[in-house]
Amino acid sequence: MTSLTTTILSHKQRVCALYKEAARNLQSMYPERHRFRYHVVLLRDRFDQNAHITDVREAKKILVEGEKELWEKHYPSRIRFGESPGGAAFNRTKYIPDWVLDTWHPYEKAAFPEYFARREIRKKEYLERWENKYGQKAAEEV
Amino acid sequence: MKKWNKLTYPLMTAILLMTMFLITQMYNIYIIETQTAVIKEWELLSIKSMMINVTLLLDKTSMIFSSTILLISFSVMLFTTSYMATDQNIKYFIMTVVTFIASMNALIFFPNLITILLGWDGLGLSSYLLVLYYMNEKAMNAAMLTALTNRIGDALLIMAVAWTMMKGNWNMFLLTLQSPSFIMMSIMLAAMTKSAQLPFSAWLPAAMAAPTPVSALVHSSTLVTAGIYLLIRFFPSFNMLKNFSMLMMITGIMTCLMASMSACMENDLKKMIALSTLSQLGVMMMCLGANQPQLAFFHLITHALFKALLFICAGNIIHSNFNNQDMRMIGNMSQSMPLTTATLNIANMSLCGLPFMAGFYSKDLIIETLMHTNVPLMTMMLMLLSVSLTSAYSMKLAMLTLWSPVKGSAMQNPNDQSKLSLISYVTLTTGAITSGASMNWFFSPQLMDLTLPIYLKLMTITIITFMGMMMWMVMKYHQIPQNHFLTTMWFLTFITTFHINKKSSKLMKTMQYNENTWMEKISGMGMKSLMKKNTQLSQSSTNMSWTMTMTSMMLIMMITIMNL
Repeated sequence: MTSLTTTILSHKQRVCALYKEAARNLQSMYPERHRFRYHVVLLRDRFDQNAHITDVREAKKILVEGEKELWEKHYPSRIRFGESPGGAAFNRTKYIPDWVLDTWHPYEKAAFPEYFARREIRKKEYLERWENKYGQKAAEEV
Repeated sequence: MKKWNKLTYPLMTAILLMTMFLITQMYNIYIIETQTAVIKEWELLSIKSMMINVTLLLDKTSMIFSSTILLISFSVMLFTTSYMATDQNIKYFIMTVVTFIASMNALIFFPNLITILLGWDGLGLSSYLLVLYYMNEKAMNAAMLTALTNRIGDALLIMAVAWTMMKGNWNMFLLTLQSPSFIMMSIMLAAMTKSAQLPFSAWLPAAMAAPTPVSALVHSSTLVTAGIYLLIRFFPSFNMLKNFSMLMMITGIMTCLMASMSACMENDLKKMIALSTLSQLGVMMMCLGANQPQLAFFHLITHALFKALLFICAGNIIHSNFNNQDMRMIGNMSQSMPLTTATLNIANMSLCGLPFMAGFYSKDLIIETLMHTNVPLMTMMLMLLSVSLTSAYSMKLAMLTLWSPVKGSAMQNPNDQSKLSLISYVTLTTGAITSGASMNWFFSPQLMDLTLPIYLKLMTITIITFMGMMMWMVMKYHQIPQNHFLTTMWFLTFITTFHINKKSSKLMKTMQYNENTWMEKISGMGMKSLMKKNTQLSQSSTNMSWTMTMTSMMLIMMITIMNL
């Protein structure tokens, strides 16, 4: 279906996957809940009509036909939640705190020598300012 | 000193923009009343007969456009306070938006090709940064597409600047006299990239990865209209070109048709509005094709106002639906957000051209003018179809988001509680209703009087209503229409991204191969080895022929110099 199949699926698993995918497809076509329910009931009925078939060859043929039909009728743009993978707001707001730069490896820091030298000076100045304003930390706090 | 609240930055910027708007508006009234235009020119540099000047032009067109931009920016800044309230980098965002507004004003007020290039590049850069703002994969792809497409236009404009050097002046008004057609063609193509006309359209819907305030300001009302503005400014020189009208007309109609058909198939709220912007740009292009630059400018202004309103409403809806942009997950907004629904409906009606709204005055006049001009029947039919599809996609938007049952999560609580957004709603709604009538009053002496038979007069409104009704029927009783060809903008997204990238990467490989072999042989390495060989040759006294040749050449040179 949508992802690469890397395991061997049984006939039952393939039928269930087909049903789920077809239902999702209907959800994209009919966004209103009542219309989706109506069409998904019709879909379920189509599956139920073939549930009793015991001949494996016939069942397999019907399954392949169903998969082909789904491919032909698939809806080009699927519903995706905004903040889920593929959605419009996925992975959107990243706040990277400043201390992350302190965790860089010395080799990484060596790529930007001027910046990191300046950064060390700034850190020292910041600590000095802080101590001037609030006083030095007590020994037990350190 | 008390630390500023994060929201102080957009608020302060909004106040600044409002002040600038009022100043511009006052001057605007003076200019319109007295029918004057002010041109100031400073000479920066003069090389032989070339003069590099900074020209400031304050006329009716530039003042009206600038004041509209300032008004929209003010509203967008107020909207930013609620939309970006939880954002970490709001200061950076505001600075980039202000850079954008400054570049836009530079483009408007300095009618000199070099200073236009400054504003043009500023627009490209700031829009790139704004699209890139969220820094996720989608935003990065979209920003790259936007930047590269706009870069084509920048390159063409730079070429135009270089070619114009022959004329000794880059002033827009002096260019109009006998400009070579290739200069005008490059300027026209540059404008087409900025206005996302047909071969370059794919970037505009992709740029919707930007935050919604940016989409409201940049990608609906200002940046994309910069191209149209440039065409309006250079119109007298374009008009001398052969087949210019036909080219504009065809481009406009095709863009409008493609965008409106794609908008009918689109389910993403912001992308749909972006495509509707694209279709309106197509309408403006058609209008230029019909030799009506004033009318195109009229539509540009009214469109900017109601489209910014539409985007702000859409942004509020998206914000209160947990960032879901898909219209299939937004529903029943008419109950939960009545104010937004009302304003969105006003904007939509204005877009469709409901009588006496802003869009009616401009769009109806454009259609009637096109009917009045000498266009083939097929062109007119296509034009009418593309324009009438406006009401179809507007109806789809309203049906899916406003009047449908609840489709989202039970946890969400959409509401209209943002007080500052209310001010922007009121400002832009006033614009979306009254700007048409007021602009009509400004422009009426310059617009042509139309006399049409009653069936042509009523045709526009009839087909627009009919298309709206048809979409209502489709949405009510059938599934949402979808088609792969139309969803991908006539496969344009594939053609302009994957295919071009594939081809260009192949070309790059060839070029890299040549660079390392032939180019190296001809230029750097080859020259070095040649020089080395020659030096060795000249230093060795054993080679008599070389010494003889050099000596004879020296003698000839000496004789020549003595004879002079």
